[in-house]
Amino acid sequence: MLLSVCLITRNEERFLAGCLDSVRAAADEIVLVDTGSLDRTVEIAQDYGCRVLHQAWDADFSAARNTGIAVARGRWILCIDADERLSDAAALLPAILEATPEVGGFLIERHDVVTHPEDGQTDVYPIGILRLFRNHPTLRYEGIVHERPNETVVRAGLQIRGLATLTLTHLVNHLPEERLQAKQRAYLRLLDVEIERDGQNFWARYYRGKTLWFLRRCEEAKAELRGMAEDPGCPISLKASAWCMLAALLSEEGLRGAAVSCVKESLALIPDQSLAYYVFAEILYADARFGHAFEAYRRVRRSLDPESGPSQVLGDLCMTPGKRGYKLGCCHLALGRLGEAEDRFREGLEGEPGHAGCHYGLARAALVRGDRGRAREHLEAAVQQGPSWRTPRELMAEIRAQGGA
Amino acid sequence: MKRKNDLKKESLKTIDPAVLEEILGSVQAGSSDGKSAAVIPQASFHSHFHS
Repeated sequence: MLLSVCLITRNEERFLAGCLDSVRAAADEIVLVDTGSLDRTVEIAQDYGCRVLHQAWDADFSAARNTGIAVARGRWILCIDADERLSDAAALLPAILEATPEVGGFLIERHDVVTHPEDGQTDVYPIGILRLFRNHPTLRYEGIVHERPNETVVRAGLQIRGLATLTLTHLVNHLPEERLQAKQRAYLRLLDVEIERDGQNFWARYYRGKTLWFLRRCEEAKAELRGMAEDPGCPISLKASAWCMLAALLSEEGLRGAAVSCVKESLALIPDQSLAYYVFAEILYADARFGHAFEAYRRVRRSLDPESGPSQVLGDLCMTPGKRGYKLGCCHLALGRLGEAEDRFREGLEGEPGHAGCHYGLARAALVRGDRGRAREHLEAAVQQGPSWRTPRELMAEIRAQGGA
Repeated sequence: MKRKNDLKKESLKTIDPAVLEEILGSVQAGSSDGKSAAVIPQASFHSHFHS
């Protein structure tokens, strides 16, 4: 048996079938550990032929995942969540079959699909996440929350590689705001338990800082992130991420000078990363330094680095072709370089047909040129591709009110 | 003393061009089509990293 797909669930009836549909072509078996669903989750899993195990929830995500992995019979394990979708299950098999013995696992490019609350724009943030690894008793998840198998792969003397041939789509904010808040408060309690056990658990401290920021407890968040970034015992890859998160938080408080200093600290630790350049670009754009923002966006990777290893910056990201075209085009547009802006937006659409942002960018450029007909065409496409995004709809209404073509 | 604090606060807010050059090197202004600019706002970091 080559591949076991493992997942843990609790009340996932809305999302489970879509997840199982995306993996079943490659899975020799699907092992599902349910931690107390009250809805149809277990029934759906049984309909799909999953091996279902029941385990009472014990406030430990790793324990639940490891229960499934322990009974899996495949030579490789793919862990997935119910709100994730695998892009191309068939692409898993060549990677597994061609893996050399020193490779213990693969980072998969996970696309976090986010809908921004400010304007309803849907955005994609691709990050590398270790989800595919050998089935071996030493390779297990660690951490009661924000669990990961990464360190066990490294401790086993095996390598982690990037796998850019397929993606996981993660439907991030499908929950209502109050449930997201409750979930993050629950995570914070678990992180506090981990840190209480081991104050040097920098992985937990990093997520604690991020969670405090999510909950708008910004002073505590800054203290946590700065504390770990300046702690000599903290691994460099986590320090680099902590500096980036601190930069982002400070930038939102209007402290962009201090934020840029944090970016510099991160890049001094790990120059070959994209997270710091992405954060930097966003800071510079917000500061109306569009030429510099362009240069920083340009340095963000186009795809997952196949040589990504344990030293990878946690949360390091890349930009999809559409997003890259959109971001670079926005910089040109803000600088009044219309032709260059249009070229970038078109490149984005070539690489990622239908990208709503690129259509919107072309509409804005057309308006600057005084071509309302073309602007409307692109706005219609933007509205069609990004129905939750309010900005193109509002601009369309404005043009109509002005009696445009 | 107050003035010194104000200066420090300002330096936290203001990006030092020397640091920009240190990280990105010299960035050329580039040519412009001479049309008026359109600035498309980008999403906040909070919604980026916490959704």
